[in-house]
Amino acid sequence: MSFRGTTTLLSRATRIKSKLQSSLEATVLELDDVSYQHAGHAAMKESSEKETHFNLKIVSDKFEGQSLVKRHRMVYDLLSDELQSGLHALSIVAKTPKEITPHAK
Amino acid sequence: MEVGVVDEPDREALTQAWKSWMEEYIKVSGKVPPGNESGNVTWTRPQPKKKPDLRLTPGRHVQLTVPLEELVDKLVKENKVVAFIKGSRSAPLCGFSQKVIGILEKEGVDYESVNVLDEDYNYGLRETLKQYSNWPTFPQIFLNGELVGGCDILTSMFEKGEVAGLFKN
Repeated sequence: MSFRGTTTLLSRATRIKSKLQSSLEATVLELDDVSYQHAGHAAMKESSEKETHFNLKIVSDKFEGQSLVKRHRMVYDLLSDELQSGLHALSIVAKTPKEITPHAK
Repeated sequence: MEVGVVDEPDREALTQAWKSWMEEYIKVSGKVPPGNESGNVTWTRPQPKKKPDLRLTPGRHVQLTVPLEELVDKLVKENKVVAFIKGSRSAPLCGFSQKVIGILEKEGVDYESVNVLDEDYNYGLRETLKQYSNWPTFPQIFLNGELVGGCDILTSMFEKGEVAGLFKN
């Protein structure tokens, strides 16, 4: 019995969440599967793949001082396996805890 | 040309008259009378002609003398703003690419576009670009030879009012 077989029983959403959670120690992690919104795309029409497009909102201290590009790269690097196995797109909102605290007025 | 008289011409009566006349015509000739079909563009305002998309190679039949990555590098360094999108700028094929084009057009940015789905002139571009940029998705926007990001990042800049200042001279 291979370990690889066990991981594929978990959904992509679960795998993404756990990878990001453990590496980035996110305080907020929201992941929505929006594959249905892209089912009609030129590139997706022929495919019956599931879990291809997600919206991610993630808050982590580790983004402090990083440009948006760098933050997105951090996320993408952690998910490179997924990106090579059918994850087509990930909309990312990546903030630091400071950035989401409403300003005291 | 048909001329008919409609008594008491309110909207309903006129629509009904038009409908029955259309049905009659179709019955007789089997076609919709000319000028009555939708999709007629005679009176629509023509879209200003958009710049054509850039192509990386002259076509698949021509053997490349330098690796595709070099051509990409040259392209992003020689053009201030380059958007690598799915589809063409006049007909983007994905929502994210469309959004990016929308923002650039709205802000009046002078940009070049490259269709990464074009298998004739940009064969292999998607894989090459993913390596080159170390970025796994499209669209990708480059400014002065550097990756700015994808749709999310451009959108966030747009919402903060940063696009014009950054991308225009």
